[in-house]
Amino acid sequence: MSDTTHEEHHDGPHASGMWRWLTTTNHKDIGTLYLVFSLIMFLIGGTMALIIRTELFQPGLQLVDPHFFNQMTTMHALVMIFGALMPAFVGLANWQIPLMVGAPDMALPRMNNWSFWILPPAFLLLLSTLFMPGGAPAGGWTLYPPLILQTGDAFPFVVFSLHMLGASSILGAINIIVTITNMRAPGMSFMKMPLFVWTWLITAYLLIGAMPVLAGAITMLLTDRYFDTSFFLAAGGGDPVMFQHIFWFFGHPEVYILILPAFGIISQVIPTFARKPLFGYTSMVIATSAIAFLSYVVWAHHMFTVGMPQAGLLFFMISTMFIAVPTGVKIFNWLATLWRGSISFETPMLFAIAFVVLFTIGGFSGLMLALVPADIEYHDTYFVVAHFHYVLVPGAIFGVIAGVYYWLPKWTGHMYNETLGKWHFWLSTIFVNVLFFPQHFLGLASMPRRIPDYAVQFTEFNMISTIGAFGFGLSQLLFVWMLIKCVKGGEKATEKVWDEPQGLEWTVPSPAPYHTFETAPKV
Amino acid sequence: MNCSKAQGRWLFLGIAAVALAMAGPAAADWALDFPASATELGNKVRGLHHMALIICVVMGIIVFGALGYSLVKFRKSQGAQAAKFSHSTKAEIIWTVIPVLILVGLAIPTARVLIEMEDTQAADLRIKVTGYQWKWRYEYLDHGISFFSNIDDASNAASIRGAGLELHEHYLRDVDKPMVVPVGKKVKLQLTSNDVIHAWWVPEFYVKRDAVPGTINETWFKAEKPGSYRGQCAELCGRGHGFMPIVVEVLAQDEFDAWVAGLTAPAEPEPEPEAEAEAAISQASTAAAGGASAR
Amino acid sequence: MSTGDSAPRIVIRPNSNFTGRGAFWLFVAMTLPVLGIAGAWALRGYWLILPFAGLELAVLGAALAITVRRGRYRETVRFGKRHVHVRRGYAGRQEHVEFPRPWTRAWIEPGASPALPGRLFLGAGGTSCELAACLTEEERQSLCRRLRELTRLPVATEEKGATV
Repeated sequence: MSDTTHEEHHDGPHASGMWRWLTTTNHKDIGTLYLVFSLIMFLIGGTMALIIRTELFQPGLQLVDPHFFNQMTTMHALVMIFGALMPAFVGLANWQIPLMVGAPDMALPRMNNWSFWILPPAFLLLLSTLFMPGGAPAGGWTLYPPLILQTGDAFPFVVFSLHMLGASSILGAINIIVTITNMRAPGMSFMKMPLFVWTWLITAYLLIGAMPVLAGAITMLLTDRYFDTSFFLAAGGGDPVMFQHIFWFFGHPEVYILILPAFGIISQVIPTFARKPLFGYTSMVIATSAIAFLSYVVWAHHMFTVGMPQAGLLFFMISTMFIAVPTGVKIFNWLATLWRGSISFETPMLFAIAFVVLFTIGGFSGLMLALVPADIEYHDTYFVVAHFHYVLVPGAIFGVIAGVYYWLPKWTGHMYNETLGKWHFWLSTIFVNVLFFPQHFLGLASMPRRIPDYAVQFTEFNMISTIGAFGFGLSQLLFVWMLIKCVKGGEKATEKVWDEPQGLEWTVPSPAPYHTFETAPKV
Repeated sequence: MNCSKAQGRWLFLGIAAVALAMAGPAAADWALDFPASATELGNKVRGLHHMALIICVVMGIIVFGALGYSLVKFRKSQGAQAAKFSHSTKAEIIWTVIPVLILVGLAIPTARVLIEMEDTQAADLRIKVTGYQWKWRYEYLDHGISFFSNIDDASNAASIRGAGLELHEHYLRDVDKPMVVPVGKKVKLQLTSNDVIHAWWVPEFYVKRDAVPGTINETWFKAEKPGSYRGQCAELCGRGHGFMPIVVEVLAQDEFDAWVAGLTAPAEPEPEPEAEAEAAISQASTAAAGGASAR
Repeated sequence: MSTGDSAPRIVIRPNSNFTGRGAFWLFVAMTLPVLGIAGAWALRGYWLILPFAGLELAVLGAALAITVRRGRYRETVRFGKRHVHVRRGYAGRQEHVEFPRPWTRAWIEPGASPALPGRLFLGAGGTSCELAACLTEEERQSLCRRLRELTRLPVATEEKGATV
């Protein structure tokens, strides 16, 4: 009768070592786990990218077999999207959302623990397919049938691991939605929430809508191969192109799942270092929602060459072009936030500025890709590779890095080494352009993507790109070093860390104690 | 600052594009722009690309210019004091409406080209193109000609890992038997595939269309000048995806007729597809075990 | 809170924005697009998306239900003339403990490690029960001070309600 405790909200790190991390339900622990996992996956996926770039340094096959090359391009994408970027954003959400809305923890701490711990076995399984007979999937991350059905013994394991990743994402998304809708401190209405919280709420909504579609699509691939169905098999009356429709119906929202939280981070960082409130908060929220909505009606722009009715081509072209409007609103709002501010250039701000510039370049090439007649020429060339890498690397990944530098002092209680941070920034920004900018030219000069070897006229830009790849990859080791140094020690961080940051997270001590805000602070 | 650098790159790209457009067919190395078009429609597509590029460069100059100005002018280290404003309905409406107008202006000419592109009526010549792992088959439906087109032996030998052979000028972009078409004639392609999805692409024709099993896709081109035009498969199709070139020989009408006569007049039997397929399989025999069909 | 009896009373509850109805509408707002998407594909013959959508919605529904239920958790401490009554749990299924008022004490035990929050207990003699696990350290301290004040009062004359 006497000592029964209300256990749900109560699992701090009682245990030590491995057991603590396995059983923790604390949002900060789980956020850390997600971020560390994401960093490891970033390095693994990056190594795969370097194998690809090494093979492409010059024409002729020097390093790998074409089949292994295809495995590398496929696995690089799967690892980076599902292993590096998504867990990074979920990790940031875990750390920051409870702090930002004034909640003691995530709404469902135990589910939070599960959604992380599904990830490592899923990736062990996915990476182990590299050693199975027939190798890892080699049909591209888009898994188009019939090619993907030619995968060797690894096929069912790939599907199963993708199911696990999807389940993890859904659990994470549900937790985030419930936390944001239920656990906001009194006085924090929806329109007072920080933009990072807003963008994550919309992202979670997209995840809930898109993930079952992926799960269904890959299950139908599985039944096509093993249970004699013909969803996508021409021989049995199915249509392989329908898989592409279904896949991109998931895939395009997924693309925005990867960028919206980065928009949120940039919208936190820029006002802090411009010492000025975010310009156009309401229009930012509306623009984010509009982008999310449009993401469900543009999917077929990934497949303009498959043979579609003219009306379809026109519809998807115009809907795609209109995404430029809300995206433009965001960029103009960031510019207006900087306008007449009092700007300083700490590392998070540098990454945020590079984000605005380089993401905009990715947006421009995206607009060009929307134009069907031109897209037919750009499609499946390095122009597309350059486009989505501009959006995902100096876009999404720079967003994550900006967020990490911005909140790291809050997490560890130490300031990071600003000199190291600046070096990391400049090297990353220079090399990411050396890496990806020449790929625009390669694409325009008609080099197809996903080829292990190329005609001789593409040599020069490929060499430059490979040099950039190694420069960029090695610069990230500086980031790892900076992180280790900052966790171990360094100048003590103050509660506010920066001059005039906005938001509740800056009112708790640094490092933030466990179970902040067990009841509501006043907003 | 990085913004001015990025701006510089865009200027460079824009200037390079304009210079190249004026220079006509330039050397392939260091090419910065779309190849010169061999078709009238291709010229229109190329024009659209340049229009979109110029719009983007102008927008880039405005956006990055404003950004660069802010970063220089409103620095805290220069004693800038932060203003307090946080919204302006007027400004927000302006930068919503202006992009909409630009987009509409871009969409209209694009839609025109698109409609022209999709018009496969009134073709002079029909060729059925079938993708195989990893070669093409061309069937001239009006002439009863049919043959496979494989990568040339020199490229094939040089592409083996560690072969160390010298790479010739058209490495990976040469075939044993090219597609042959007459100049100035509307050629309609009917594309399909025997196994996985491929895509038939000749950059200078500005034609790219997927070859999907179980489906016939149609597209067309009308080459303006005789010559050899090179492309390759553009949809990942397995181990040999990078080794599936396309060459189209555009001949004068009388030369084309002679080519047709040479193939049809003597009772030279059409090569058996099976035999060809076997040859192709042995060519790809170095494929890793998993590359083989699992079905 | 005011029940007519004049004994001092403290109610402790977790912070929650949800009402049952709000959660229901949130669920509906999520269900419609998800089922709409899955249903549209099913109509075209790609029905295997539906079971996954259903599974996802079941998890979402469960998550919302659990959250609404947790929001109803209450701890009530009432200082009667002879006894201190503690009720805690969910509406309808609350457990009840009572301690003889003169011997009742409130104290805070520090957490197992410096990172962990302290734990507040109310008890008398050999029995005790934990209170206010859902408060911040600061609020727990002030609640503890208030409880001590009340245990020292000889007879309750005022009505006190604190909702935290």
